[in-house]
Amino acid sequence: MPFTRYVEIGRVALINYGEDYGKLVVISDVVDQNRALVDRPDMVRRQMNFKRLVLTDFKIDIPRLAKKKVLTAALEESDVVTKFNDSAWGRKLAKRAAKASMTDFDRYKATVAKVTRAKSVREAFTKLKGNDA
Amino acid sequence: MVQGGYKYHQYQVVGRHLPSEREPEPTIFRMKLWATDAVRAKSKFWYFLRKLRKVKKANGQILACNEIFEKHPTTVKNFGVWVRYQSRTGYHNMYKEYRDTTLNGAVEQLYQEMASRHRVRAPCMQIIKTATVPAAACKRVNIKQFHDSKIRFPLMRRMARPSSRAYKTVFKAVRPNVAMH
Amino acid sequence: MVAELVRGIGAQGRSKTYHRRGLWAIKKKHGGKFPQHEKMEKAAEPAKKAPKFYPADDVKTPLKRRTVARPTRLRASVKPGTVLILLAGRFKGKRVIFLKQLPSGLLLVTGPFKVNGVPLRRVNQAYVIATSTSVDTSSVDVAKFDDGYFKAEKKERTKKGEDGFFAEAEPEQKELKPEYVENQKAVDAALAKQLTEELSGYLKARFTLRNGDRPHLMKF
Repeated sequence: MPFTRYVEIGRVALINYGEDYGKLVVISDVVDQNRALVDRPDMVRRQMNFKRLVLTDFKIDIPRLAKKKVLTAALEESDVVTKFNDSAWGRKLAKRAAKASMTDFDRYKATVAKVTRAKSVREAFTKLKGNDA
Repeated sequence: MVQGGYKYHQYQVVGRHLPSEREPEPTIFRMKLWATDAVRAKSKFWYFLRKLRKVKKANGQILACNEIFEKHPTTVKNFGVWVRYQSRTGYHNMYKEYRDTTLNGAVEQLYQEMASRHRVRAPCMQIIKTATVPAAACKRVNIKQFHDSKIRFPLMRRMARPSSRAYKTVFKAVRPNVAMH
Repeated sequence: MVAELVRGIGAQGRSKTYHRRGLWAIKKKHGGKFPQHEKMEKAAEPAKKAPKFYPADDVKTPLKRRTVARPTRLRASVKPGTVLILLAGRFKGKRVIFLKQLPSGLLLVTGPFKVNGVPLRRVNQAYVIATSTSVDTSSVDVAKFDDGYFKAEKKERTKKGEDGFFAEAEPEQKELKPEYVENQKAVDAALAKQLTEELSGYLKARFTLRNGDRPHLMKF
């Protein structure tokens, strides 16, 4: 399979380590083979190792070392953040976050829902089986 | 932005010979150098000054010692570093280029690289001069290859990595998938 | 904070500190003098007669006890009505409703008894996980419950005779006092109005950890 995601200026990446875990950033410049200068509207531009980044499918059109204003406008225009959240990857992350923030009562309600659904499935299944036999 | 995390910081130290009757206003010397703290910076200042001029700590005084911070820590620059170091055979001079956002970062890289490639430790090294080099004047191919606003390269051998240090393990039950592009 | 030269000696002198702290302004405001509290007048001590003899024996005076029994602080996550998970004892894993904190620092909880069989009970808050679920307990009257309410009755000690020793000790089924039953019923009735079917199902279920559950990462 050929590569589809490249390190390039404007590439959107996800941080997968450290205190900014789970945030989307845009590559603003490439420092060297190990690091890039990354930026997002609400943080100070800084360098980050590629080991801490996962490249996404999205790329926005910005010049090298784009100003915050340009970056914010480009992000808004391309709608990358909502597109990412709608993608399978984004939905998986959202689901994970929702599951982690479930309270004890929520977990109980989920268990009950699971049990009732399984029960109705089982009943329907035995009914069908009974007809066939 | 906090400019931290570097072992060596840049200091400027200003000093001179003690004023005497014959020389009421001795020449003032200013030196920019790298040290882990201000105390070591002053010590380094005297080390260099007594080699260069006829001034020692015993008959000199320090006028100022300040840390120097990067002016633009959010842009990438090419740094050229001229260095003199003592190897097991003799003294050598060297010119190296690094890409980094801060000069301190470039110096950090220098110390790391000299230690790994030439087994030279920091005390054996003397940084002669540093400069921000414009892209056109860069010499090293490894640096020049990043001078491209249309730069594009894939990342290889990508693995799922633990999201925090707490989840790091030495041993794994399953071999990692190293082709997560 | 002004830098210190060495411990206890500030970098600024007395005069500079005086100006920095703005003491001159206070002085000026009060007419060139620092405001002072007036000393309380001491009651005159009664005249004491010196004892005639010096006591030959040392009288031991007990040590002063400076410890003060401070009331136990209730965990911030525990409020009246909070659903708690019991972690120890006969009812471990049960979800119960917290009613109030007793003067001893223990928590007064109930299942309610009608729902999951946990009676009005005292537990230490260390043996409890507080959840974010809560039930309105304003209608429950808990004024009559205190630590004395839960005290066990004193057993009457009877002298064991020889025949009594050999005789088979009959296990006595202790009858609960009717007022305890009634109190429980009153609390249960008041709580029952607040519980939905889902909530009472929740209280009926026991909490347990399963494979892959990481309690330190769970939200409760």
